[in-house]
Amino acid sequence: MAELPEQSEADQPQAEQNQVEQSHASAPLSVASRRPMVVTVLVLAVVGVAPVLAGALGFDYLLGTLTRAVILGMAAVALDYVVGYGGLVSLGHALFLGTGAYTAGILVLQHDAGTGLGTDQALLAWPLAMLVGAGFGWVLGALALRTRGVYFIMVTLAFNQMMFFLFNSLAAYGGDDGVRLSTRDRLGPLSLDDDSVFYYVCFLLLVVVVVVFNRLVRSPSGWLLRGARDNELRLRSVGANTRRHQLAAFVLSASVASLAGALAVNESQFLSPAISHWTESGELLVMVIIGGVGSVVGGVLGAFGLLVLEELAIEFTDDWQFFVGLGLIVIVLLARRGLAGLLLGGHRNV
Amino acid sequence: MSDPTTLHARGLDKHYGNLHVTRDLDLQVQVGQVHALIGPNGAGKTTALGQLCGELASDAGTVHLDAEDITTVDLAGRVRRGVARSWQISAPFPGFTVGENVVLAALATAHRGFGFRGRARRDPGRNDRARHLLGEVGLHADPARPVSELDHGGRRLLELAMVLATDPVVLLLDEPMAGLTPGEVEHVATLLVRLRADHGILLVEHDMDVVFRLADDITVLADGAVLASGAPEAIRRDERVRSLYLQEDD
Amino acid sequence: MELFLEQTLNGLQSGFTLLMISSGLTLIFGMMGILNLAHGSLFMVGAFVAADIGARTGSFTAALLAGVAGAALAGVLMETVVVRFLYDRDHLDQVLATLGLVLMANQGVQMVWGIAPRTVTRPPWLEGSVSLFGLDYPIYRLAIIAAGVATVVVLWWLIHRTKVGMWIRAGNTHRDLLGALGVNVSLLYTGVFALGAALAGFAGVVASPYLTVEAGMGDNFLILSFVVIVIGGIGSIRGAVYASLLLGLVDTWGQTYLPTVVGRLTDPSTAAAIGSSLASASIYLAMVVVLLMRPQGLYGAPRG
Repeated sequence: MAELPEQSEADQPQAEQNQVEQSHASAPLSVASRRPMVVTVLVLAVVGVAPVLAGALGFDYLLGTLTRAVILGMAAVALDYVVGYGGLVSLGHALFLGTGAYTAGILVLQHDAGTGLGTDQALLAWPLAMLVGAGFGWVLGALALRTRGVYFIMVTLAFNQMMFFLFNSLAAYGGDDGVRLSTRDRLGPLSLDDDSVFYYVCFLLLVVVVVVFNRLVRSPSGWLLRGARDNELRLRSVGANTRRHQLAAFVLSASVASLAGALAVNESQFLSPAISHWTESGELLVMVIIGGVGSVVGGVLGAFGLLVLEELAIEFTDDWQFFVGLGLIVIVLLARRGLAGLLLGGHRNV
Repeated sequence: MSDPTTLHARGLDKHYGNLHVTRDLDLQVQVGQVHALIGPNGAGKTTALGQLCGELASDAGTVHLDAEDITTVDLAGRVRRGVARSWQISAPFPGFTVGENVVLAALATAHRGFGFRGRARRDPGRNDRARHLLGEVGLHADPARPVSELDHGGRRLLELAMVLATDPVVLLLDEPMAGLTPGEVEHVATLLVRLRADHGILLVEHDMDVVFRLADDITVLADGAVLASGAPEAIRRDERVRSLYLQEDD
Repeated sequence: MELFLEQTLNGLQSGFTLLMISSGLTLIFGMMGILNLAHGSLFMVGAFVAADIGARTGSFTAALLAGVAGAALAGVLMETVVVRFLYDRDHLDQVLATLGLVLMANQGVQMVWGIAPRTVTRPPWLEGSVSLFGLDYPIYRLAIIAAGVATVVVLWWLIHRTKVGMWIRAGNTHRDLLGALGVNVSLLYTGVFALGAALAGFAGVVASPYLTVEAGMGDNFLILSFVVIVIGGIGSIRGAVYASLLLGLVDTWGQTYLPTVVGRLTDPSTAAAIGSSLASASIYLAMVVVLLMRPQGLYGAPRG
């Protein structure tokens, strides 16, 4: 311990302070990079022409798979906002696929039954699906966010299981066997029964979703979300209400995943609890990591990558799930950044 | 002229099981003054700081900012009311540049609801303010570089810039001189003298030269309780304080 | 009254089954901090191996021993080849890698034993029922309860009365010190993992007479184990005991009584449907209540 000092000297003047300030007057605070946007545009462009390419190469039958990739890609983008940017690993997002699917599906079934409580209008059903998803996201998210880390993962998984059993018990709407839907929703006067038309409707929605999340990530709320991921206490100590921004992210993500669920039930025309099985939540997480955690468009890459891999694997063996699992373990233990990570290099930060 | 804004702590207490870490602590920090909190290692200085800023809940006692009772207000809430702390170990946000860290700190207290709209990077007013703050603390590093490139001294200065970005009235500084070179210490000391005019500063420090140079008031903590409190000259001559430090030297 | 007694005993039986799985999980998680989605797969492996050996030998005892050994072996393999590389990784990696293990395990049992469901039959010396306060209750279920109680006793003895147990308790909070004290931490971790696996496998064998032995059978128990940990607190055997029994009772009483309660409000068929979904949700509602009132669990340290 130091000795108590004797009288100290007077303060020294610091006149150079003003000079230094002037030289920093207009220095940029960030490095802008064009790469994330280039990659995003490229990926979306490829997705946009994918059906045409597939047709030209004789793979017409893949249209259904491609559509599913677009839809799940949308859900993966939504999940990535919470996982990659928020640092909150949700292992229950498939429950929102379920809320959207069942909202849209029940509305169609009611419409067919002529009860007057249903609709086959996408312009009504799909926003409603998003609203329902947001509602569940709010309640379940607020509860789950009372925990962090592994507990958060466990709680989201538990809520997923709870909703799965709930959907299973809806005997009037298919129960655990599921039920076929007589028709897809209509977009105004336009029928969505044509698979190509439906693909492009989904693709358009995907573009909107990617644009929205890109803006969110660059917004003040997005920055605060990332700060909270990096060091929540530190961010609270500069005055941020971290829980509000995390809950907002969760609700938005749930809403978009619910939209994806509504699209999914339209694609398959089959309403079943399987869409919200917890392994689906796992599959969405796999898409996020294959595509590269922390880039907005990564989820789309991951969805396409995973579904293509699965198609290839099925060709070789019936036990393809075994190899998907093996591949997953290998990827996690060896690689870390995923495909988009490679593409975006060090330009993760936006 | 109205009374300067004051942070009062009265009767603060904190236990960890049987360990009584803070005992009946009274402390006051006033705008225009530097109040130093000193004491041997383990005296409870950092815990007291934690209780003042709202990071740690007190088991007894109150904290007031002027007339407002902020005892039950949490960490973020106190920052929004103008009571901000710096940390002994700098932990800037790794995914952001130097300048962006300051912007982030400013964003945290911006009262804007959710803040979905707009681009965090592109607000000229906020960016100018960030640049100004970096200049004010004297951090000359390129603000567009990642924070990982800052050296220790740079990180301590960034820490101060971030605290200032929250527009505080009272600054609670936890060993701001820790690990700095003599030149850097001089620099920060001068900065604190400048800040004193418009802020109240609570300074937890081990560097006695700095303490006696800057402090208007000194409180000495030993075993979580106030051993002595008063003007620097009185503390310097206080027998109990001298023997406390002489004991430590043995 | 008889119904209440019967359902309470059933609740205890299912609670103890859950406890055998979740106690292993909470030990492993408390010590190594790893979230292992494949823990339910060890339950499944135990059941499949027991079904196989049981079919070959006709002996329940042989099947039980084989099931436990098989699960323990699978656990050791899992830990040494994959899990040990995950201890320092972040949670997302742990989730994904162990999800991979689940996929491999679920497909793996089909590759080895085919898709047709298997069975494990109760041994003849545990068949039949016994009269309890006027109720005829199956001996086998009582045996499960007894096994559960024995498990709790043995675990308590292990953790509080042996040197290994002391290491386990130390490992909960002071992982780094263990190595400095000369303990072979790597071996200890593998051992704890094997113990957890053996417990899960044991549960898989004894619960099988009431379940279908099929791929994915352990996954719901895994998720319920997580609920046990959220409610009971991490690393706490006591918390796991109370939470498991609570959940077992809530689930069983819910399945029995909720449809009746709902039935007073609506017609029987709707009541059956709603009541059953409310019952399965009741476990999670218990979790919700705990999250609202005491997020750190009944016996855990504050977190979140």
